Amino acid sequence: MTNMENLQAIYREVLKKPDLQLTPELTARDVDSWDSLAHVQIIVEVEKKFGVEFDLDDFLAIRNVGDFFKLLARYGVDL
Amino acid sequence: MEILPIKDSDLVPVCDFLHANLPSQITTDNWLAAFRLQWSNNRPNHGFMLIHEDRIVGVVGAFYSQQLLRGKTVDICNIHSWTVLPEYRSDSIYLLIKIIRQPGFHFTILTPRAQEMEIYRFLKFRTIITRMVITANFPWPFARLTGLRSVTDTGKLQQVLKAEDGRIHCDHTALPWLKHIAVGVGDKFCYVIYQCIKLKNLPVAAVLYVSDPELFDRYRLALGHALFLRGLLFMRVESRFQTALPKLSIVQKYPNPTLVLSDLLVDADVKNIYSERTALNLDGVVL
Repeated sequence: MTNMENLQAIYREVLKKPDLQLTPELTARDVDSWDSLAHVQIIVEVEKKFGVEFDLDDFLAIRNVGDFFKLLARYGVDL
Repeated sequence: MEILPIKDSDLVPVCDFLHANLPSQITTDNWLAAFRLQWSNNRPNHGFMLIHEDRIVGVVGAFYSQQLLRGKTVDICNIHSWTVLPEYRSDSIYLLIKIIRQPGFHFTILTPRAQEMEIYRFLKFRTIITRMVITANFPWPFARLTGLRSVTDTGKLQQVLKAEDGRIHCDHTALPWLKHIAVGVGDKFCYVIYQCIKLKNLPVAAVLYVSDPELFDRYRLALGHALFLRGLLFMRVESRFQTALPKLSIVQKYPNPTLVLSDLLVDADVKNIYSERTALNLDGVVL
């Protein structure tokens, strides 16, 4: 699986949306099951999968999926 | 959507919101009285609220206190009543982040909900596992022989309590659902704050504060005797307030986690006082 496929799989699993398509514009408001707990679970799963560790400022910088793409790129994860 | 600090002028709508959206059935007036308790000269707000189109859609409450710990005054922020309307829960964590990013405070959460624990762990809260232990109170005829005294009178309590406990007593004495007792002899008194509650319709002393776990264990029988004379047949105490579990005690199966975010507070520093556990009459209430 590519990094993008892995990331998409995490979102689908946590949000329980098997058909979810990640786009840079996607936000929590677009998915009804995407609450704060799901947000934390996505972050934690991504940390585990890609071997990175985000801090609280990173977390606060993520307002949509595109922000997360950029953040991952900063940590050396190419999507 | 914006997150604003809760000021005095916001308290009525905030308390209305908590009354309407928490299952506890605590009235707006009771919430108001609790929020208005002044336990710190360093109270920047009463927590934070999430606002959408001029409407409160989420709240996280805070009780600030200045507590004497090992001779030093420490600013503690006890976080409570984190409540966000379902359609805004993608933003609820930002309320918490806002509160814990206030510099100079040490943070506790005494009544976390199980489904929130993963979020608290993510925010680096440390979990203290504690369980409720229930024991029966009995008449103990040797209390007088040992010279132990039980003191409940407000004026006399101030005479036997150490400075730190004297201040705790002063800060909580106006709350009528809290009962205060000190048991001991000479200059060794154990100060206990409890609330009379009913469990399975039995009268129970639900202990909220123990000044000294070692003295508490040593004087347990005398304390049980004093409580028995007040019609309280059982005593419920957290395991962390005791150095050993007494014989014939019932230990609650499910733990009561307590959370702390601090590089200073050790487990023993985290108390139930200066919190929703003491500011509100919680007999029969589910937080």
